[in-house]
Amino acid sequence: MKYSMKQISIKTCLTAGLVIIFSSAQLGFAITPEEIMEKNFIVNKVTDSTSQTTMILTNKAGKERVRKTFGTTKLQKGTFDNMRMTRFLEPTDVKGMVSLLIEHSKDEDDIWLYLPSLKKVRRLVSSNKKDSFVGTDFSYGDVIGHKVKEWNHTILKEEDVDGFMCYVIESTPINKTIAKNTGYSKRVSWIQKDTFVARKAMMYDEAGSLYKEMQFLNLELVEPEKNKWYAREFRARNVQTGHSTVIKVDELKVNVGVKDSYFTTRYMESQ
Amino acid sequence: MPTNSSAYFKRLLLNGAAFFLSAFFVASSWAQNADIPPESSDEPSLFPEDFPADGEEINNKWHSNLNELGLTGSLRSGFWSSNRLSDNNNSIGVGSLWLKYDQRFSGGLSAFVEGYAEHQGFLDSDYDISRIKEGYAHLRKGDWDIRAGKQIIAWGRTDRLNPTDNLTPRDFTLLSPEIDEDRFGVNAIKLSKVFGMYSSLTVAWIPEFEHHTTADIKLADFSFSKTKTNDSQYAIKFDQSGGDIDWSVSYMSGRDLGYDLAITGSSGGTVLVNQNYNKVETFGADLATIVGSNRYAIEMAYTRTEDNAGTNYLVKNPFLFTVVGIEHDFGNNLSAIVQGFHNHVMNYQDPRNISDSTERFVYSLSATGNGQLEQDSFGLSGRVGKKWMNETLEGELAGSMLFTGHGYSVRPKLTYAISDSLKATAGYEFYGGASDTVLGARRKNKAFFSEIRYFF
Repeated sequence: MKYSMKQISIKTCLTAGLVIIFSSAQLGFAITPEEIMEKNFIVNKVTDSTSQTTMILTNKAGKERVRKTFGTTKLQKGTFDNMRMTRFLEPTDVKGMVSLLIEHSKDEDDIWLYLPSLKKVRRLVSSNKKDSFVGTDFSYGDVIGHKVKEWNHTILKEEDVDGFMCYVIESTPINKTIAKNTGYSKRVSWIQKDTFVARKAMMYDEAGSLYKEMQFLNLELVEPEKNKWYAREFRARNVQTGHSTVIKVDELKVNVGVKDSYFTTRYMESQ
Repeated sequence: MPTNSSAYFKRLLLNGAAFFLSAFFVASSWAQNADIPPESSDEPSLFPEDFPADGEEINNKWHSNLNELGLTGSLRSGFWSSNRLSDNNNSIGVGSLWLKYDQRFSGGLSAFVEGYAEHQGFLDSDYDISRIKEGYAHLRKGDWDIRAGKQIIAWGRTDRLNPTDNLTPRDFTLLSPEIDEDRFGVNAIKLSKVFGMYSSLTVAWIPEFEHHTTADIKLADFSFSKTKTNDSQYAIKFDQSGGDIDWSVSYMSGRDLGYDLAITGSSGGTVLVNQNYNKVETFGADLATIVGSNRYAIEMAYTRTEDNAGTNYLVKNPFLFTVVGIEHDFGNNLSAIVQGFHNHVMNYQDPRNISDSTERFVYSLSATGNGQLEQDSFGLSGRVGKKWMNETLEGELAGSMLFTGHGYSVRPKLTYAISDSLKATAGYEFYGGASDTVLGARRKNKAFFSEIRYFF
């Protein structure tokens, strides 16, 4: 029997929909895993913010390196796409380095980097999300957030994390390109049931082995009217190398009227 | 002292601008001390003036007070098996202190100064130098930016080979593992107007020309001297940085940063040769965009010289220099850049056909240094970079090759961050190929280098 493409698409969608509904219903959840991940994806997307952070990088031998940054974010009008500017304050050899990231949910993000030694802003390739974010155990993809539609999600169970009931969601990449670009074959996230904030996560490398463990601590409700939450401490540990990172948000101001013009290469060059 | 009224006028203008900004700077400092808010209350500062400057960890260090004043720097100790002067000096120890002052004040005003003092020790001689690389005041008001003082103006979007980058000189004799540290500022006023989020128009005025620093030419029976010129330069650029494509178009009128050789006479059997920095006009454009895992960039410039007809060997001919590059990101902190470049000389005449042997030698030497020995020169440059161990260890292999004349260079380099304050670098610079090519002529500069930097 031959089917037209349209018929196949309708059948595929109906089948996929039934599978999702059946899976959720079978496990007794009133919400689909996609809805949970969508809510999680936007739960920390505040209108705008300024923040000062300290990153502590520790190797297996316990040796520490410290980075301090100043950053701003702002949602682009009518979207949940962020603009992010990060300026490095310490240590001395990276002081003055600035990165600008403009997210595009339907396209590749734009990334520029200003290096004081070059005196120039340079546009960078953004498709690769697996590289380490400035030497930390968080990848660029972890920092920006993994686009929900690029992953297949399944609710595994519910579990208590530090006294908070969480959905345990398994996410697998929809294709090999996503796996290659993010460096992950699977992510497991613990999403708090009532707020949709992530409490912890585990990442698996492309070969399927446990790669990283992450924790999101000291969560604060920073925009109550929009149910926006922000973790004041992020922890990641590469279980394969023993290297770990703690990012502490020392100062955070939300909804302070950050102007669009701050997310420009002009400001990056303001040494 | 100024040598003529024009130079005096230019200095007066530059000093006036610097004075204006300095006065603003003092007034702003006073205002800040008088507890006036550093920024207007309707917008947050992009620079964290109230941020605890150095954090708990850093406050325990000896340089905390310096850092709070806006001072940072590095102490460097290095070894070079050869200098970059194409002479026979080798085994050079280099010790230097680099200082940087970077401070922001209220009202959009900031100040930046960077300089260094260096001691080079040869086996049989010593050499000391201290220089200010940059020292300027910057004022940002609304859509306008003005920067006055000694500053680096770096243009161009391709990698290291930039046909449109013709305003500020490089010191090709500087012994530093970081190639881009060879840029030095010039006294200038730069004014920029921003249009929307992505576009800007920049005008730069450089009252006194400063050329590249290159190794002195030492040849038996020849005496080389440099002609100093105080001509001013100006340039204008329209730039778009944002959206799908970054691009710019630019124009520069001024002096060539590189020299032309001109025989001026002879004295006691010695041929006298001047290194002249002649007038040029450059029309340039560049473009960069990302497609998938690749970054594409193109940059080209047409340079009009004082010898448009191409009949005067004392002055280089007009030329069109084009660089096209692709950078691929392989992931896992591995990336590679490959660039092809082409230089086309207009109204070309081969200096090797000059009948007089002395003139033939000198003007061929000049054409070699300027890449004008052939009408069309082609080449490739490339760079592979890789980071390991959470960016603690960085490796780079850079090189370039001239198809015309077969000159080439290779430069492997490894950098290891022992800690946040201590970084070690080692590498090798290799030059080869025919001696009548820009790269082959630098054979004597082949060198192993190593350096330790302590940052504070």
